[in-house]
Amino acid sequence: MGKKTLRVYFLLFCVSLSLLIIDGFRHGGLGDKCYCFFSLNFRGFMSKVSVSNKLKQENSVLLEKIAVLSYEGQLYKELKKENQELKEILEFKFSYPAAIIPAEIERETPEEINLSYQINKGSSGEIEPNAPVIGLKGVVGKVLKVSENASIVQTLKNYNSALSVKDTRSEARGILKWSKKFFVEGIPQYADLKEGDTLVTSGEGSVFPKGLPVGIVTYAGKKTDDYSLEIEVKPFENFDKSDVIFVIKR
Amino acid sequence: MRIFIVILLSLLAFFLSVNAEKILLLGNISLKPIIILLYFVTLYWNPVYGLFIGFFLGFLYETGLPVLTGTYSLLFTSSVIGLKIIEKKIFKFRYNSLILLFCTVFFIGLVQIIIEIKETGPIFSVVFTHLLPEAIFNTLVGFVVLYFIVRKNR
Repeated sequence: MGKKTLRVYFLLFCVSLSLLIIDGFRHGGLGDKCYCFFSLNFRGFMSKVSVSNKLKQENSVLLEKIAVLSYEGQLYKELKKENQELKEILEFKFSYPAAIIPAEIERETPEEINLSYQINKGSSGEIEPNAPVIGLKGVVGKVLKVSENASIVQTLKNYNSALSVKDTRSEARGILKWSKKFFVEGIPQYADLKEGDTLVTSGEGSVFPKGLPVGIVTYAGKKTDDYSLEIEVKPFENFDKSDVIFVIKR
Repeated sequence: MRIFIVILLSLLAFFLSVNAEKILLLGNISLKPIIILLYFVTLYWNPVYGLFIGFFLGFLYETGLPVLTGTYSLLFTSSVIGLKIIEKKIFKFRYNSLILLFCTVFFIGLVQIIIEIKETGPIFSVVFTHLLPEAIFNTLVGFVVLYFIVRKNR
């Protein structure tokens, strides 16, 4: 850059600056304008920050509300389920006018092979040994031992259990047993038993009354080395999900 | 003779920038004939003319604007010196040298917004909605001017 250019620039720069300063003194100053500009932008920035903070607060309040509503929704589902169960119990009671004693399962036996329940009713609750026990859908088992305030129920899911059943359609009779799966023994090959048939208690053995629902036939086939039918059964009662059972007063 | 041409061009640029600014307005961006004139006079003719044009046109330009007297004179003359300093680092007869014009328009536009305290909204959005498009537009006009300069110098 030439010296001439620099000199001219310096001269013009000085003139412009002088004019600027003089005018600045007359009209409030350049500093005010700079301050005005930066304060405007700063205010804009701060207003954005405050809006952001407000949104954050609103967000946290809404999150809390969502949590509360979620909890209430869960509670509502639980209550609905409980209501449904109570309804079933009520309907069940009406369908069994005979004297039945409701009892709650306190605990299950830890053994996987022989399933037994401990219930919260005993001799003080008019429970007697060998009393039949039913659930909401079908036969559960029978009372094995009774103490004053608790009893042990032997379920059908037990190697020692044997229940006399009959087919509602063909009247064929047999003994329901359990050995890792439910099966019926003692039904001859000529008996008319099919998959889907319903089995109920036959009333033999003087423990269970006649006609209590037990289960449904899932397989019916001929054994190769025997003269009887091989029958597999799925019980109506779900032994894993039982909470309330009923002891039938004898 | 040259002085007359300089005066004529300056008056034309001033006339365009003041009176015809509204006609040349494209959306919210406008042509900056003074800056284009300063750029080409400084780099392709004589920087001293550029300084004088910047000084006097700055004076004329700022009359009626809400700025202190001498602001635009200072801005334009400083831009001329800035251009002269950077001139050595570019080959001015190549079209990519127009990036310098782009930067000058952008820089002066930014300073204009600051000193006039225009109600244009947040500064970052102004950069994208106003300053950058304006710089691109003026660079395109400068491209046409440079085309004729390069053709003449062949």
